[in-house]
Amino acid sequence: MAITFDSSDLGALSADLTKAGDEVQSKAYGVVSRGAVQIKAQLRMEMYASKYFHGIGSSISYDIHGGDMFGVGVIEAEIGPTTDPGSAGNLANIAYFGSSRGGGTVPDPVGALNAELPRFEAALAKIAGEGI
Amino acid sequence: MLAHITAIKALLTPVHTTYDTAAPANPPMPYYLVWGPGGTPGVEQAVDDVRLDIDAMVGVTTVAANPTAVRVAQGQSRGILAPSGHAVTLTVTGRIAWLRLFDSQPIEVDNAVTLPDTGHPCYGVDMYRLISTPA
Repeated sequence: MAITFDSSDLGALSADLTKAGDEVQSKAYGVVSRGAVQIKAQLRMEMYASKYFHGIGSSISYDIHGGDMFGVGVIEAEIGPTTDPGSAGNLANIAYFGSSRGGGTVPDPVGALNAELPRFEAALAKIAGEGI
Repeated sequence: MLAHITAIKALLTPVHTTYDTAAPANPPMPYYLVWGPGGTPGVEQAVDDVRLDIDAMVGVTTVAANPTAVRVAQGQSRGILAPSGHAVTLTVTGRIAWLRLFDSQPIEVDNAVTLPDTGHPCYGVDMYRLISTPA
């Protein structure tokens, strides 16, 4: 399951952060973690509210990855239902996007991303301003 | 929101049968499902605190007997709802509304449904962003 969202403003900000020092990158890790927690919470809340798919809610989690990519420091969060074999999270695609018989019944995850985006951008801009 | 879904259905119906959210039993293939929320308020806060804007994700599910047929029908729907990748304006009385292709999910086989003779149907979901504001 792939989700895209409008992060065009983040692109410029990310470029600025790569020029910053280790301290700023450490703070950025905290911002990404906090954003992931907020998004996970909203995704869980929306799934718990579903009459048919509430059992998937607890399968929604997140992972934070960090490291170098093409010589640039990268911090990324992967948020969503766990889709291991036998996991209830395997039904998430139907919850979000439906089937051949009907549309999705749980709000598109992009809503949770967009809700968090202003706070995420503001937090990154703040630490970028402090560190550059 | 109903008027917006109706406007999208009106655009797609000349191409293939289009249903609001759910398909009836044994529908002719291919067909489209148009679905979405009841009307997500816009993100911008009005100065008078009256929120009449809509900023919602609308799904268009294309269903056909096989993946190739899904791709063909999906191409037809995109030709109407996202011509050359552009947004389209919806005809909704009293509103200025437009639709933009936002995302697309992989085409899947629906193993929960079995068709006579042709096996399981396939479906693909395109997600559109609907922005609407009072005219």
